[in-house]
Amino acid sequence: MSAFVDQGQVVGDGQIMGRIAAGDSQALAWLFKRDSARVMRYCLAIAHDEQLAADALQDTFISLATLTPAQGEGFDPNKGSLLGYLLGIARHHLLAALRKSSRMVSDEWPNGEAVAETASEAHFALDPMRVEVTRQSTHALMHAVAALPLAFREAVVLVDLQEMTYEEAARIANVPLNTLRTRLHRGRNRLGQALAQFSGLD
Amino acid sequence: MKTIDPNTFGVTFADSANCDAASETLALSMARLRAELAQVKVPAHALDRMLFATEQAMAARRRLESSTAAPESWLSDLRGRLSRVFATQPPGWSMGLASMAGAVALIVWLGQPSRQAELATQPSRGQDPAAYFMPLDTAGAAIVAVDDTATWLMPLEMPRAQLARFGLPFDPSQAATPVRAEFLMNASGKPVAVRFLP
Repeated sequence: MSAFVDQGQVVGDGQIMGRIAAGDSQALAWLFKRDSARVMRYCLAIAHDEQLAADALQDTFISLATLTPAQGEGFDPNKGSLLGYLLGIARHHLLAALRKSSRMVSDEWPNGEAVAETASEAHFALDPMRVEVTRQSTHALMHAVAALPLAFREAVVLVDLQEMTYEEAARIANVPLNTLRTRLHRGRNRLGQALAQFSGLD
Repeated sequence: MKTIDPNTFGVTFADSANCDAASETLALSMARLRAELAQVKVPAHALDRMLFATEQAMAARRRLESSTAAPESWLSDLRGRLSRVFATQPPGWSMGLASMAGAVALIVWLGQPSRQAELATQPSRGQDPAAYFMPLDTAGAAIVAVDDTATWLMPLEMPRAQLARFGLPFDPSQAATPVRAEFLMNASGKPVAVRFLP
């Protein structure tokens, strides 16, 4: 998508946020057209629910629309991409929506690592009937990702599906880099086991 | 049972020299899932819904910001908003003239003598008039139907008594209290529909 141009000048991401915070709906619409699909994919991969994902997407951009100019300065292009900033907001709304829909136990998105490892194995186990219906590894993987504890799922979604750097993923997940790495490793490990189980490697 | 080599910790699947069958399967499936997810599009209605909701949110914020400003009549407010909005439209003298004409048309139309006294005494319809857009004329409705991408919303506050100009009942005791309205404008700046918010 072409850059946002105003009066012959290309407007950078930092300035875009400034304009949105100042009430520029054209800048907001432009940003929506550029980044909404990636925000939607992130939300969909995390929530595995199209309605929740669409709601979180909308809430993300409404949050932008209600930023005050001072809040708009909260985005620093030197610290990360605007997409990462959007995903951070989307994550906040998604988390609230999941809590509200009672689809997340209180300790499933831990601040540290201790709880993550103890997250329910039962959630991870693939439903045999579901696997039978979706006899394709991609679908099996999709369900396996959806069944991961949220902390692991988020790491896998950000790095393996959204192809973000570890640093940016850690920033969005609001965890130290090593925590992100650990979650990613454990998430991949579980996914590998699920796929091996599915394809009869074991 | 095969497991992913723990030595691959922190290494992406593709560049791991030690990746085994399980991790290869995972990497391939992940790539396919990535490609599948890349096909996910934001539904068209989501864009419309978001733009409408954000416009409302921005309007609410503008109202909040302007609440500290000196009070002025809603018609003056409308003039100011029109001039500000049209100042941000794409350049072009024809567009400017059309926008100006639309602004003048809206202000003149809103300033016509009303059936206020007559309508003020009518009983309530028993339903919320804020729930829908009312076409301001048949041609306006047709424009909305065929060219909805070129429309935009203009939020406005006006005295509740102005509801009478749109054929809507109102409580005379609340005549002076403001009511929030949104005018649906076409690309030429002509108001084609209006709705009142609760």
